[in-house]
Amino acid sequence: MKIELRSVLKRYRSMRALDEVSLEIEPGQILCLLGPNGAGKTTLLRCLAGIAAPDKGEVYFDEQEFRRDRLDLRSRIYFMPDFPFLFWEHSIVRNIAIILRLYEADGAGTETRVLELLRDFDLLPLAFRPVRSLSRGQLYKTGIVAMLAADREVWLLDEPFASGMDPQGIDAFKRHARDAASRGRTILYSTQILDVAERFSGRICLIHQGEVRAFDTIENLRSRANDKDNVLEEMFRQLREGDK
Amino acid sequence: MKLHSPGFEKALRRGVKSRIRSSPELKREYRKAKKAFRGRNNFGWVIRPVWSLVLGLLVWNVSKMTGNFATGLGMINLIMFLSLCLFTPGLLAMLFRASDLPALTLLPVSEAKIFRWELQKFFLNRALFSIMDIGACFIALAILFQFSLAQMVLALACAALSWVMLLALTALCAARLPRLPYQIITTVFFIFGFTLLVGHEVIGRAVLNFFDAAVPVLNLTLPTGWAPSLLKLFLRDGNWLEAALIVPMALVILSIKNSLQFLQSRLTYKEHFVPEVTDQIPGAKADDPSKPRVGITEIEEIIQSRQFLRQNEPTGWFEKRLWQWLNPRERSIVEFAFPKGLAITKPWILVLRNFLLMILIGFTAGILDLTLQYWVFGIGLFITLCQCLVQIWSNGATFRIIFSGGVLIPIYAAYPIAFRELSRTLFKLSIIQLPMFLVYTTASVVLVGRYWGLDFFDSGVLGLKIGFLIFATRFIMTALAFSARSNDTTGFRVRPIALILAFLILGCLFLGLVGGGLLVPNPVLSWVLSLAAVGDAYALFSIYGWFYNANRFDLMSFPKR
Repeated sequence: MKIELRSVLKRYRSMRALDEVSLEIEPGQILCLLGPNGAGKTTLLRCLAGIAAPDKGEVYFDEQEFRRDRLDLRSRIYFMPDFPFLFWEHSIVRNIAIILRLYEADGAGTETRVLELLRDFDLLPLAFRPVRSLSRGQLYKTGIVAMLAADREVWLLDEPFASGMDPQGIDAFKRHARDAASRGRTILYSTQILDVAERFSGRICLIHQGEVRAFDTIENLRSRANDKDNVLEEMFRQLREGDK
Repeated sequence: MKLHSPGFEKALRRGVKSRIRSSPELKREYRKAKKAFRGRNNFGWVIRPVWSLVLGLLVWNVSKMTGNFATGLGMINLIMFLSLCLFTPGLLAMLFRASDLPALTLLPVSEAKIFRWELQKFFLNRALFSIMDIGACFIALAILFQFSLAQMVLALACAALSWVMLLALTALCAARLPRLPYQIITTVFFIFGFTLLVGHEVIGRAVLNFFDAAVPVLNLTLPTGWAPSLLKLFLRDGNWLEAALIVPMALVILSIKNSLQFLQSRLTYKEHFVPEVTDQIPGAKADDPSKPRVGITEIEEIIQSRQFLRQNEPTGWFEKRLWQWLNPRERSIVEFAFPKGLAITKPWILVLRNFLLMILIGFTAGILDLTLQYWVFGIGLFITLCQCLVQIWSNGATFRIIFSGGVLIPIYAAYPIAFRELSRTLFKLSIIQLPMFLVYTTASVVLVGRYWGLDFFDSGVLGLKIGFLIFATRFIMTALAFSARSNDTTGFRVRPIALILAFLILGCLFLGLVGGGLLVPNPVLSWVLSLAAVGDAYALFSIYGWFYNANRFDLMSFPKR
């Protein structure tokens, strides 16, 4: 699914969270949204999910303008906030079942997929445990399992690597994400961890004060950088120096 | 009370100022921040005295129209009662759900100090200003009835006493009666007030006459009326028996310390730990303690058998009818909105039980005293109507808000659920309950109609019409439910203003059409007006839906500061 933002402007009072952002994201990519705190990364994800409404500009999915009544487009996207939206009093599998039904992704073979994913994320022994009894990392893993089982074309994830997931969970997530990208899924995620961004993402989108400062593949960014080993760190340093 | 050292604050301010002065870059940053802060001016200081003045004028007007001093006191009583219903949940929220509580509990500050700090915030932000409201009301009465200087001083003393009484009652209600439906009472008050404002030409005089007659009982039964009633003692026709009210008042005021101690004892910070939980096996009885854990093999078998993907079929009669009516998509939405399951049949049985109980108690009370019967029916109908409205307006967990990334987002917004399909599902849920609701309104109006001299048939038709009109509010309530969790009306821009105007115009038109539908004597015209009211409510809902679908606002809101 191709994603396109055309001059998207989003204001919060006098502050421009997104300042005329234009982007074209081809399918099958892992795109990392980088930027200092308050740069506009989460706002961008929320605009794509239909939660935040741009003041100006449009969002297009596969050349079709996205409005909230376009359920056909919305159901091809999975939004995963920094804290998964789950029903606390219900078990992991019940939450997954409710979400899958909303995405109409509860057809044949779902059970095997859910079982595999629960195993991968070490959630199988907890499958019938109410979500309220889980730790922060386990909660996030539950959300991730639901997302992977729904298997939408676009994944929007807000800070997945600051979610409290254990190394096993992070590893499983990366594996599934790479596999999904190879199947044409588009993965957009935000992070502050530069090492992860550099190794895990195919493309980087650097946002600062609502503006896109860089949007390129890691290889291209590296070829232009002075410090080839610390490309992203160098970009952040330049941003700070530019501010001063 | 300050939670930090004033000396430290002073030194910090001085240090920050000197650093800003010495650096042009920091100066720029400071000016920018100051500009942003200026944009968030608090107009509360201007609006608050105006509100007190409005209340004073209200008391003046009511007293002038009836010419009865006691009615003015009754109005003050109602204003204080409304304040009580607003203050009690406010105090509870400030003490137990304040946004700074999690941070404060982690700091080396004693719980007693945290409690005093939150209490002080409530007092300064909310309670302190209410003295102006009460004072304005008493001054309005004093001027209208041409009090002497001595009487004026007594009126002000009475205002101060009423204010203390209001604070004491707030503490008492928060400590001992925290579960009373304060918000529902406040909402009913505001809806009634707004209806009166719009339709005062038609129903104003009748309501005023009723209020005038009910004031003696009201001022005695509501504790908020006790302190204002004392003022009558100092007038020529004052009844010294009312001085007896000093005793319960003293008890209420003396209870402040105890109430606050009780509230403080509930604020004890305890480390959160999750108790042992049982597994929730699909199809099995929930939380069966006899089988707390399921083995891995059994878990795998249950998942492989797709049991967890099966929707829970509802059990009640009405729930089953609704389930048959819904399409698979709507069933998924119902499951999402009501994850604990639908509840229709049982709550309506409860309404029926309470209604029959009310009739039984009411007619028994009528043998003793007719006024007592009115009160039993009044309170009974209010309670059962609230229960019915909870059912008719039910949205389940759909609009539950979740704090994420510094904002509040309703749970449905994170998932692919459209405005139309969600609303349609909620309407179907309400429509299935319509027959019971119509039976309820018809029976209620037939009961009340006996006292208005209406015949059985006319009462029945009127009840039916009232039922339909209340049911039409489902459209408005659904739009408001969406609106309450978005930022559609914030900011002074064309879109929010257009939306607010649409809400106001169509809302007022709805009330006007409802009034016409109920009061116009011509039966055909009255039904036409009633149908127009339903159409108007639907138009309001559709206009909101257009704004919603066209991405005219965010589906999130910023938490209150």
